[in-house]
Amino acid sequence: MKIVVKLGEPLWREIGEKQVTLDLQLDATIEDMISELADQYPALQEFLNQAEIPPTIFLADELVNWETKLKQGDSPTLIWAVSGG
Amino acid sequence: MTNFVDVDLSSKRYALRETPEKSVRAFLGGRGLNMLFLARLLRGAGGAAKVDPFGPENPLIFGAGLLTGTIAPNAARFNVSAKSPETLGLGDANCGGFFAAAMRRSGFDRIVIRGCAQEPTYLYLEDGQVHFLPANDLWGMGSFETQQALVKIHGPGTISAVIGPAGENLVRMAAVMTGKKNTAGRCGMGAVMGSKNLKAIAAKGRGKLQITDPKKLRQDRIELTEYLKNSKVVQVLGKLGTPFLYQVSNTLGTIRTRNSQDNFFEDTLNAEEVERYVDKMLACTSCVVHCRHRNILGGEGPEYSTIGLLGANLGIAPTDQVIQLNNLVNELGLDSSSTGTIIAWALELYQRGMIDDELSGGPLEWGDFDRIHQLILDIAHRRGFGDILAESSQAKAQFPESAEDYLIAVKDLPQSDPHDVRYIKSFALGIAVASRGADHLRNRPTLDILRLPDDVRYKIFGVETSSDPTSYDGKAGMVAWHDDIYAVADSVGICKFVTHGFNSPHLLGYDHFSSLIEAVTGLRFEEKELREAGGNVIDLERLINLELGRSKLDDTLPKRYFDDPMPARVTKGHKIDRDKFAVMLGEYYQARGWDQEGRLSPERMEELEALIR
Repeated sequence: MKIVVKLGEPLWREIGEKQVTLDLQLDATIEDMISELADQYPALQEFLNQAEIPPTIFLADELVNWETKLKQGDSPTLIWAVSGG
Repeated sequence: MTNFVDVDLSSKRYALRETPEKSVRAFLGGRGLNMLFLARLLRGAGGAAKVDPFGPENPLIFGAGLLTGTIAPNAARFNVSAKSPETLGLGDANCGGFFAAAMRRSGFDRIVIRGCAQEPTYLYLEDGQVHFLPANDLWGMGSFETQQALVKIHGPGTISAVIGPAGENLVRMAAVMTGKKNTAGRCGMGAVMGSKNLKAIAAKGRGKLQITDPKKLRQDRIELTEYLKNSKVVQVLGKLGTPFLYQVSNTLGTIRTRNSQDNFFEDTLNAEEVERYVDKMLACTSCVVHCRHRNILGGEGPEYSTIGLLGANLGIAPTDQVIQLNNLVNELGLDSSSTGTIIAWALELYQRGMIDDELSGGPLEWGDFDRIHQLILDIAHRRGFGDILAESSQAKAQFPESAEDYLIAVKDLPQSDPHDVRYIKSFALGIAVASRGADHLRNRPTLDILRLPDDVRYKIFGVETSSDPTSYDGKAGMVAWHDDIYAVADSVGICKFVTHGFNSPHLLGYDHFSSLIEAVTGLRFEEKELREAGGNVIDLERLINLELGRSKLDDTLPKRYFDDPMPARVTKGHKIDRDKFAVMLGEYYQARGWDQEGRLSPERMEELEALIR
């Protein structure tokens, strides 16, 4: 199934695109999606491996877990939440 | 170990004194010791509630952190404290840059200023001497212009903390400025300086700080620099600065927009747009992050808060216009957070017909850059409608009674950051209970949104917390935990960008602080003792607030956060439930050891009294 993943700051910079389309197996989870992203984009994989905080993921305006199952047409958003002045 | 200089502007006299070790052990330095001096001096001036913030009896305290100016990583911070003319409550502002290190190297760890100069004056600090010098020629100058003039007078290496026209004109949201944009911005400390006819404090820091164990300090520096530089949070902040946070908040739908009537705005304020105007990245004293960015329009910044509050919150989308406003408020010496919040408040009141052209001096429209640019100038110079807005939250006295319903402030302090807190409940509690008013830098639990595993959260916070950021469960303990560690960071003078818990479950925590303090001062603190010192600061601030007449009723939120659901995006429909908030507030009081009215126990009062005496 096709999933359009939107990438927020600063994650998109590791790919150079703000959204990418992934082809995932039916019933794939958010974790599968992250794994596929990492496989396709080694720079993003390196970033996520080194980062001490995980990305925060939203799907259909809900905060979701890595176990959440995806379905055709879903468009999850990944952000990297940090505070500052 | 740490000294203070008692300066009387009225008599032009000063005396240098040592701070007792007992006080350092209890409050460390920076914000903590400032609060000790503030509590004592407000009492000595007839009682906190009676002190006129613009009166000569209001003490104004500049205090460097215990580690500030040393090679400890990111130890650049100092606090400026007084009774606030903006909130009429506890006033305190924290600032980076190079001033505090210069102040210490000129011989002074803390400057306690009382009285009022008869004419415009500045203090010049050099080799342990305080010089009272005329500032007539500096009066009226902008903040960076003043600093350049002081370098011309005293030579290269002169670092100053100054006020601009806003402080001179007693604008209640006036800041103390150092460098092009380092700002002790909160609570109107610049106006207190202005009320004392004090234009600047200039320091020539040629001395060397006494370090108990320089070898250990060097070793800590090397190891901690390596540790910090491996952090992705540090790397990203060093590369992009804070502007990237705008897009993160905007994606969520948590950017305060048009006075929080909306919660998302244009992409023109994303970091990649701001980057077109960035010249280079800069750092403060001993910093390993380098998050500051110089812009090609003649200033520094804007930071995320300013992008949000002078951009989205005013409906201004063009990037260059927001940068121009950023540079303008810095040169005038205005707090960008309060300025953006107060102008947005006025724009909504006009939109609702609650103020008319006669009062406002003409139309007030969202996104009207020219009008807002002029209004900021008028605020700083107290002209026309700007004279009313220069009163900040206190302007409510000149508006219809219901105007306060639209003011995004707590304890009369306009909210500091552009994050709409209706979604993440711990953020809401944090700004409700922060001692100086609506402010994210007292206790913001950013990690709450990361959905860290239960065991990881428990290991960090020591209490059970819900992993759902929209839940109220366990958030009180989380906020209390942040209270303590941020109070310690502020008191040792270390930036929150490298402080454990602010953005990362790693980075510098009590054990690192303890090692650095021992190397610098020889004082040994166990982790528990340092956390207790943080608790001392929080409790003393509570005591000062109670003496100022604050109560449980002030630990609340803007009406809009309770009543109006967020309009769009991920956060759509969220608001703060009054009953659940009340329960969370009670749990917070319990976590702090206060009673259900938010008062300190008699035993705790006795302990604090013993420390204050």
